[in-house]
Amino acid sequence: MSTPQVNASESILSSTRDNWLLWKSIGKTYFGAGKTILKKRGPKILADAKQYPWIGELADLRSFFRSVSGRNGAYRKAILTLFEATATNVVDYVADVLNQPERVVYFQSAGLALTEILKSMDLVPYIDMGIPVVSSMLNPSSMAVYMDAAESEGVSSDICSLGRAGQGILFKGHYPKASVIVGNNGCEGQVNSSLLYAKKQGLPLFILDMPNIYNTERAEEFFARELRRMIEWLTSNTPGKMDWDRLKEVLDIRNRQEEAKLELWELMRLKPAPLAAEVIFFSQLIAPTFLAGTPAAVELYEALCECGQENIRKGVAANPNERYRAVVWHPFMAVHFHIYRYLELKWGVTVIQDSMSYSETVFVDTSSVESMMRGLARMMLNTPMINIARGTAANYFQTFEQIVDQYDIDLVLVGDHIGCKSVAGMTGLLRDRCRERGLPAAFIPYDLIDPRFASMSDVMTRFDQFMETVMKAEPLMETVPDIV
Amino acid sequence: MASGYFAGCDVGSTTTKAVIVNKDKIVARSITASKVDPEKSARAVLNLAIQQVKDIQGIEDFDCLVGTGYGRIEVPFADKNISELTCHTIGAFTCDSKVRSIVDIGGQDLKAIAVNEDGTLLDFVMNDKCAAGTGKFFEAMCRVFETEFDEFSELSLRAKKAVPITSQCSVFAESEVLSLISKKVAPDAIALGIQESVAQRCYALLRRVGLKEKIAITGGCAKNKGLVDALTKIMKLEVVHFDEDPQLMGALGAAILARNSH
Amino acid sequence: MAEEEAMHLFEEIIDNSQNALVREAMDAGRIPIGYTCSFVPEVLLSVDGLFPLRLRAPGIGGTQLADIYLPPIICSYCRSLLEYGMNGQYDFLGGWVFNHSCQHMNRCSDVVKTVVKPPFVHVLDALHTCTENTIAWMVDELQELKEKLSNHFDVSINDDTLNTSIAEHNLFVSVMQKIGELRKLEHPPLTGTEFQKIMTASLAAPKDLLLERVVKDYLDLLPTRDGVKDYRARLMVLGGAMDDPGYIEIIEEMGGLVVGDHFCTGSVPGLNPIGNENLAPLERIARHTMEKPCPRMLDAIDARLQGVMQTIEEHLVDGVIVQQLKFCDSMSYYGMAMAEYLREAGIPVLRVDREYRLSGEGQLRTRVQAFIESMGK
Repeated sequence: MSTPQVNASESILSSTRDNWLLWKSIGKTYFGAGKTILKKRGPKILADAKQYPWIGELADLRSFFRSVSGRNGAYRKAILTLFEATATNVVDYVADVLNQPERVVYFQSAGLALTEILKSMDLVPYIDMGIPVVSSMLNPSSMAVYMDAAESEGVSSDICSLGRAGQGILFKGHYPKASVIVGNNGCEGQVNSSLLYAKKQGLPLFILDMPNIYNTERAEEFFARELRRMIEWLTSNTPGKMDWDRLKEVLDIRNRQEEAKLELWELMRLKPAPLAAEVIFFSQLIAPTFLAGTPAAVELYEALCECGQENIRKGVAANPNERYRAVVWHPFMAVHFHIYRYLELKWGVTVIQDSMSYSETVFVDTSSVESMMRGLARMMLNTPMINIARGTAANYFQTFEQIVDQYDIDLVLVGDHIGCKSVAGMTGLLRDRCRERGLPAAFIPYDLIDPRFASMSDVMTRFDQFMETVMKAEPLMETVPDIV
Repeated sequence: MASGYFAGCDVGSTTTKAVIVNKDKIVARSITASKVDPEKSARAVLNLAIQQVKDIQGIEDFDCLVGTGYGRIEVPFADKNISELTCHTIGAFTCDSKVRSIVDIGGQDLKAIAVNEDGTLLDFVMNDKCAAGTGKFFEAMCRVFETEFDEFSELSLRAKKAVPITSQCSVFAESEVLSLISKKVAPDAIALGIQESVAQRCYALLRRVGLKEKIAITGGCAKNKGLVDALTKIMKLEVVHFDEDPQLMGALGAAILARNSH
Repeated sequence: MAEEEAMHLFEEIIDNSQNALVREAMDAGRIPIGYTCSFVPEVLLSVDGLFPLRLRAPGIGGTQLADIYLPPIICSYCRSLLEYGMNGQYDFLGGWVFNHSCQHMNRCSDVVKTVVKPPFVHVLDALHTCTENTIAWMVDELQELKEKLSNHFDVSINDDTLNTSIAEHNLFVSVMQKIGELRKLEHPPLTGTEFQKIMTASLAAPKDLLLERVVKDYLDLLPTRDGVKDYRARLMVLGGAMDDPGYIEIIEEMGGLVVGDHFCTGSVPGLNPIGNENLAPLERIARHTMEKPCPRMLDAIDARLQGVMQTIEEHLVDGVIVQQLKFCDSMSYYGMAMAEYLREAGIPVLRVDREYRLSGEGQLRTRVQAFIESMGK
């Protein structure tokens, strides 16, 4: 790959092209989303927006579109492609939830997704973290009213903001109706949401129990049995019924989705990287949850790969001024996700991979029901949040070392999420490990979707101080445009 | 021989208050700055109150004396001690029997109280692990603004718009305010931001015990007009106005309980 | 042994991790194994010369060393254990056995393994629901622990030795239950503080020695005592693990007599006997463990709530204090659900959070006093 372009000025042609990309994307997104809304909800959407105020938050996509400012060419196109896919599919997903409450299965995701199983049972998944995460990316303070509502009802203020937001949405009566709840003990802060929802709504509850030591054959066998038990329970408690042939189709598509994802990740090993940041962590947020096992997921990854290939062909880097290759460790800063653009433009830091995206890629053997269940179990036990938040320090660092080595990482950006006790408990050991490896690591305290703990300004200041004092770097620009 | 006088003494972290009642009404009140020794604080404030009642020569003349406040256990000459939560409830209810929610903003803590129809305490929640939003916090803000409490409390009422204060901790909030002042942000807007941040905290506490009219604010910070205004706006509900000094509610409640127990 | 002498011994045991009985047992060649959670079966650690000690941190000041690795949002119990470990105060132990009680404890175990490096460490992976699947899983977990203990310490853990250990546990439980029954009286012969001192002492010393030397005699003494009359309200304390009787003492100083409890270092589930005599010992132990009512368990919450109501009725409880360690995720929902359930049943509830080390006494006193006053007591 050719040497990255360091020259900051763009030709008028590429600037025009980038602007056109943006406006085209805005049009496509709103048109696509609008079409879906009209088709699936029609005029009922007005009443929906009144009953569920967070719908209004999801309608304002400026934060997404602002995030391409300073990012050009195929990189810009990749990010816009992602946001288009997000907007259209989130709208689709919300519409399905509102249209078929009797088929809605609320599940507390904690990283793992049940989308493949539920779709094969003709059930509608409602993923508890979806609305709070996406909404806070669009408007950082959108979830504050819900978190306050939860605390007023006695929820501890130290529970992860994601859990508090979800519980607050419930207390305010803004949760869409569901027919059953499936919780899991992947995240102890969030499992409270499942328990609370079941109690408050009087709905049947199933808890998917998972071993802490997840990466053994015994754990997989156990969890495969748990998944079978869950499927039987869903059959008894919902109108859904498992269509094993459909599950095979869904998982075959998912296997192709994983191949396309791996191809994208392989591109990230190039120096400088042809794509970065949101392309990785956002695609992993959307594809395994909302799009899992659908052709849209495969198409999305393929489109992203094509953007990466375009940059490679042109000899262009995502970040023309790439000086540092970074891994984002622990949850990426959902509420302050513009920070990654800030770091690219001001400090030449390219985010290559992140711990909420990376995990062992599992291809499911779809030759039998038994092998599908084992594959699903293995897949779910190895999803990124589970593999970092659970298990031992040994497997935590195994993942860390794999990323650092495979992607030639020279900087670690640690989102010190104060609501997650599991990752917080690893902070000290992580610091030691980074020191042993000679890897500079920035630890920035924040709260996943609550900007009141650490504002964007606080986070920027901390990163600036780190880059100046520890990395002894000179900023590439004083002020990054469009940072709010 | 019974004197017919009863006293309540509220030994707080910042001020100590005393109220003397007879069988019908309040006959004396006093407030002093608290000393390090709660017993000395209690004696000093009671002696001041006693001077207002010619029939009483000393503390021993009371038919019953109830101590309350954080220093209540260190007042050995009190006939009994009762929690300030109960005393504030009784005090506020005595002043207005329609009070059903109270927020007490003291020197070093915040309390929210839900009141039963009969004036007894139904539920409470306290924030006594952090000075943010308490009297100490406002003292610090007055220092930063180089102004007195009364003037500070009026300042926010002049603002058209608030500058939000984001820090949750009173120490960091002070730094944040200093930084805003040095950037020449309008003082009234900053003051309003401060009042709103405390009012939000009070509101959250009240919500936790169940907000129900009528609502009362007790404690010294109830005299902060800007805070009362901010809280009224957030709650969208009126705050009752007592004829009595809200800072005396704890001592008044203690005195009433002393009378009732006799 | 006289009453005062007995209570003095309990206090000495509670205040010193290497107390007289522990030293006596070690001098006789027995090996102390520290454990962190009631889901680690003591009976498995009580075989062939091993004896269990619930890991505590008596007299802990701050956690400056532990805070290097575990930030303040990790519960203070975990940080206190790590602090003790990093200070070498657990060096006398033969090993540590953790359970994956929660994510705080999981990370504590990671740091202990990496930084403290005890000669023997094992982490049990008890699941969070009680089903036939999870009980079978637990049997396998216990089998693995059994083999590791046997190999490392060269001890014989088999069905016979396990059944003996279970019988000894049940004996201790039956004696303590008799003491516990006395708390149901209108004027119990012992306070909640005294009861908790015995319970905590039993976790901090070899039970067999304690039972023979002190506890049985103490039970005999109790009927001769005057009952406690000077109290304002009968209270129950429930919630997270609490091993400092000083906490109960403060509650009782404010007039609340603690006559019942539901927390793992107290009587429920601490004094549940191990049943199912027809099953193999590991399965008996697995079932007993997984059936424990504990905030970490995500199912059978209604059954637990009913269990609490039963204690309230039997012990004539006026009000309940729901306490939890600050930052405890397990208690976050359970504490809220418990408080709501009890209030709906007309039971007054006070929710408090606390640190592991007894602190904030003034704040606790105020809350308890106001709570008792609010009950009209």
